Amino acid sequence: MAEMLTQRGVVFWPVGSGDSTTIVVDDQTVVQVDLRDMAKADQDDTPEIAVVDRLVEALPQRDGRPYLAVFVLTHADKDHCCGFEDLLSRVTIGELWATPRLWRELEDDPSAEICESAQAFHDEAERRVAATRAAAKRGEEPESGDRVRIVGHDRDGDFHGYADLPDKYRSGPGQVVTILDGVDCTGRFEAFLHAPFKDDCAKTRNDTSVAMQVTLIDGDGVGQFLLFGDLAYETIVKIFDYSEAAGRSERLAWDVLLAPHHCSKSVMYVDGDLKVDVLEAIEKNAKTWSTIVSSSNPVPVTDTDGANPPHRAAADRYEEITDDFICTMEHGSATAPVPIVFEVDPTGARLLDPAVVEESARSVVKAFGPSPNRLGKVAAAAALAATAAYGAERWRGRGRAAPSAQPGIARVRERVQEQRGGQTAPSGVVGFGR
Amino acid sequence: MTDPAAWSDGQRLALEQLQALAAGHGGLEVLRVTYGRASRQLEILMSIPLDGREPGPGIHLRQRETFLLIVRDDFPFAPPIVQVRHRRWAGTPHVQWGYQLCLYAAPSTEWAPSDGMRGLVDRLLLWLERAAADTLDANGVPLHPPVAYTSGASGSLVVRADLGDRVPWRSPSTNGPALLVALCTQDSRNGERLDVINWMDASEYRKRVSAGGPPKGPNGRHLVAAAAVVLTGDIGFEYPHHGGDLLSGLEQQGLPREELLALMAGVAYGNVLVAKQRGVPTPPEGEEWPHGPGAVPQMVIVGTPSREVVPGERVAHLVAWRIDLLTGKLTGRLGKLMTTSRKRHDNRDRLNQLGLDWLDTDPVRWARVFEDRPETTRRRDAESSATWLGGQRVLVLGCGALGAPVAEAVVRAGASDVTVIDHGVITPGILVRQPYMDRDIGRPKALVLAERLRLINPDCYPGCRVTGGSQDAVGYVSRLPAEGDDRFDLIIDATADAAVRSALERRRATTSGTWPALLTVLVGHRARRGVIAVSRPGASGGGDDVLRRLGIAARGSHAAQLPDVATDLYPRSARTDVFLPEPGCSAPTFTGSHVESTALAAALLSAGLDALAGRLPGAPCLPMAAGAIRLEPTDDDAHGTTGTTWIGWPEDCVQATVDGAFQVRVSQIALGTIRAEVRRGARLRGPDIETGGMLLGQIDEAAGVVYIDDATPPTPDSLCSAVHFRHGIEGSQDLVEHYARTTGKITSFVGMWHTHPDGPARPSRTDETGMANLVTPALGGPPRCLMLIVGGHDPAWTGWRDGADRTPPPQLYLRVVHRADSSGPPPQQPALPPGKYFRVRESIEPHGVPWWRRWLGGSR
Repeated sequence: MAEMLTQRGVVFWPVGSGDSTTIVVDDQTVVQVDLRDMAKADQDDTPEIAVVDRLVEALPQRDGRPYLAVFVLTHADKDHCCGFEDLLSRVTIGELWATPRLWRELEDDPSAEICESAQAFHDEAERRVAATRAAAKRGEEPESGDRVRIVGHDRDGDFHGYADLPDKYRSGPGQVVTILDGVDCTGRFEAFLHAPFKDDCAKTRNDTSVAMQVTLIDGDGVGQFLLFGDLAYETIVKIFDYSEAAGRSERLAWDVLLAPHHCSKSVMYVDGDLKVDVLEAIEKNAKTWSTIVSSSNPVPVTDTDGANPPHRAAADRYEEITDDFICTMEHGSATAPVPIVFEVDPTGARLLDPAVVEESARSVVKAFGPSPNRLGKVAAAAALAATAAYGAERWRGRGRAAPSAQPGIARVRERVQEQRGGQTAPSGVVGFGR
Repeated sequence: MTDPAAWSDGQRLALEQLQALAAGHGGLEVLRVTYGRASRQLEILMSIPLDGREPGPGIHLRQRETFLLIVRDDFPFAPPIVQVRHRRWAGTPHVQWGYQLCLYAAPSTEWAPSDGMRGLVDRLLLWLERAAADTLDANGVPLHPPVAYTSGASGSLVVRADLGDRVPWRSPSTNGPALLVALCTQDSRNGERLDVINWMDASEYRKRVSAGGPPKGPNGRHLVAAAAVVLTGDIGFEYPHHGGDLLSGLEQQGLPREELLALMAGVAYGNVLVAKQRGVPTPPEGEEWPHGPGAVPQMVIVGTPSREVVPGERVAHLVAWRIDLLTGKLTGRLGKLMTTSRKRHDNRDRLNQLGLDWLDTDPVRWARVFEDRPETTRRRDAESSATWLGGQRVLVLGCGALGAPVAEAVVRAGASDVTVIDHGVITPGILVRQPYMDRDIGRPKALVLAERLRLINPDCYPGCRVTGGSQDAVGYVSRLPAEGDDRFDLIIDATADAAVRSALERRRATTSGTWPALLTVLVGHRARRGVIAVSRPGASGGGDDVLRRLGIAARGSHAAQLPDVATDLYPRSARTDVFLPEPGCSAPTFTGSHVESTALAAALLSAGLDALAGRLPGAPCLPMAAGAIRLEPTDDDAHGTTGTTWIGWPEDCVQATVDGAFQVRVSQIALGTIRAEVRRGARLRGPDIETGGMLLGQIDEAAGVVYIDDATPPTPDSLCSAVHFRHGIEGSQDLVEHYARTTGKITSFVGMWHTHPDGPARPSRTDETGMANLVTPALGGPPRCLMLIVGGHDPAWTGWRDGADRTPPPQLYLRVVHRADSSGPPPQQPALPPGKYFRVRESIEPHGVPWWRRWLGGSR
């Protein structure tokens, strides 16, 4: 089964409401965008999903150690970096992509509360900035494992620790990155950076998320993935507006959109008002068969005030603008989620049948069958992680309307009939009098 | 949400109703509400869940879809407009402009204001289900053709002529678009309107134009032209807005741009040629033709397969692309060059390119297309008996309160040729109820009416020719051809004039050949009721005959059903309250308004057409029939009779008198009496014994008709033998008076009949003498009398005598005997020849009842 997986693709791990996205560029080049390890469940209703353990097994080996070409942290919230320190200790990470945000945050308030993993990420980023600076002084390139790329600018960039890095280690909105850990991946991989914007540098962490269009290329086949971190309406609209105004709407095209902020309604609702423009922009840039992925817990049937994402309101709006809206924790079989895997082959991007992914996971477990390629291994690892965690019946039944519920049209019709009234007499006695 | 105070009550209701539908989990959702102050429109963005559906072959539906409802301030009396924000469904049926859903084909019947948004949502759900299943348009169900948004300012095109087999998909040999030219008339008052009355292959048209002779219409009428392209597939459900898009759309359908330009150029040049021929002045140098080249609006008609009225027979849907003046000018010049010059290639190429450039950048304007092709349209009167009139040639006599509305109805029903005859002029008084105008006063009615009727479809394809004759209807009728009349399929006598009826009857009686159907209409003196006499083609009797019968029936057999008709139209004594509308000797007429006279005219015509179309069972199906039509009885109506009464009559036995002076119409009743008496006599007295009796009816010298309504048996004192019959007198006067009384004197004694069993129907000398005696004033007889002899040799005689009803006698001798000029004594009748004589019956009848009463009440 595994040979059905092609070389190139993207895996969205089922990690509850958080992001763990693995981009497989080729057998040796794997990029991880955000991480939410759930080896130690932090909440009662969250299963343990050992993301790092499984990821490590699926990574290529280099010099006897698992090797990850790039780790991108969109922003330093726990649901995006949890387990980074574990990963760092077990894997060679060729290059880190970091935003200026943590420097600013710690500079503004050295006692700012950041999680353990974020602190570990920041420490590592600073170490690499120093190493890069040192290498640059020697007139050398930093080694794989010491590399860092600062994504985005800060208005006050000069005052921060990375400010003196040479330009080639710094990127910002409007730029294209094709070099991953020193290897030119042109023709296979491109990341067009949309955000963070310099003007947003002082906003909340979510608003400083890295936003990018990742393009995977295989011959004539192109798969484009919009990863917007936890951005909300204002910044997302700005991304669409800027690129349109700059005449590069091709940088907005998408086969797959990772629903920002785990399917938060903050993408299209501001103070309860629906913003149609952002939905129109997203829909307009969708390619023919497009998919919106919500990396989140199952979307509730209805929203409750003040609840965290995912939001039903957002999911409903996404369903209106795409043919395929899927959720990492609801994808695949009824007993356990199956990771969402897109492969990119010469025909373009394609969502893999969950059955294929599930089967590939089984063949890895049994160690039978042909050795899968890298995308297969990552997909299988993600599937294993999910399956292992999924004895938990508590996940069941939290999704949308149960399959037995009547179809949407019938529900609306019933309501119409009810509103017309007059179909039935009062079902009980009615008393009148004084 | 903007301030609802500005909204109309209906808009508030719309939102309330929708929000009530929206309550509930996972259901309909109202996403956004905005109000446009300028447009006064409420815009509601709504989302509908569509999960749990199996995908169908039609439009792809997502798990949820949003819809924009535009609620105008006249809600709920008009349905909201439903749009989608995307273009995913553009190009599918019933999606206009690519985003507006057409939920209601006929809002006036399908939209229920009381159901409001509930009905709208219900309808939308049904639409979505059907659109997803691709069942919005079943075969044969009229569908929305490809939509082109037209403007009246871009001219109009009325399409009269069928494309028929000129469409490319009917011809297996062609696989590209069909290049045609629409041959049109141009409206004289509105030059922006063209009427397509014929189609021609483009190559044929160009050939004729090159030869300097653009095609002409019937009667040498000048025709202008428009280029036409019929494609084999759709350009798209929606027609493009820019010339470039349209050209590339056409190109995709296999029509190179240059070819289209060449066709347009050829047509433009042709129109300029026609302009010269029809005397349109060429504009001075530096000025443009009005409308377009040759003073004709330049249009390109684009046809696409559409609308399957008969399954498997797709007909073309047509739109008309209006070329602007400048492009028109270019193509006009180009056309001249292409047609006349073979040399100046450079100039031609340059112009060619220029023309194409213009076409590319032209905004596409669509002229209004009004379909009138039989192949695509269904007549609104398709189910009506009025279709009987389709293609018929009709003569309408009388252009008054009855004739004018009748003639108009005939033209509208699609008659091919209508002639209206009336010698009257329009007076102020008739404007009360006749469809004329003040400006027409003093003008001949028939001419004014014809002018107006011609306007109904002046260029109608295939056309209705309306002729008006301001002449006396009696004179017109008298000049109808002697060989029957094959110029008309229907004659409607709406003169209510006895003279016209009589003249028509005379024409029928004195000419050979089969007469067309005849409808005769008239109304009572207060226009509360009317009668229609229907004579089917070839019927023995015309209007006079049928109305005569109706009068007899109204006094006799149908007195119970027709008391009002008898009083109103067949008064016992001449009416004294004759209505004379104008001072002096103006023509008496009925009183009544436009309302009554028009209502009766329409109802009478409708009844007549129903009868002619064979859609009324029973009496109206007979060759001659009369119907009485009534308005509701008013409080001063003594009879209170309501509804419609029909009576019908079989064909008479018709034969001319020996001298050809009269046509004798012997009714079946009279023939029945004669035969019954012959049979009875043969049984009682032997088969060779003669018998005879009186004839009752009317000798109408004006019409030249002798009507034989009935015949009597011989009186009891009559004597019969094998060689002689002597008619007695016992009770005969009583009998004649009885007839006069019961028919309002319509029926009276007109002559005698007798038989020559197994012998020739030829009068003997005795017969002649007898008849001469009859008309002798000395004996008190009438001045003229019909002699009728029934004869014939065996086996025909016996066959008739004992055969089935309505078999005519083998031989009839008919002659009207006139009183001799000399008033001398009657010729001496010979004595009874010898032989065995029978007295017909005993004089004394039991119970004192006269014989004839027993006969009237018994045998028949």
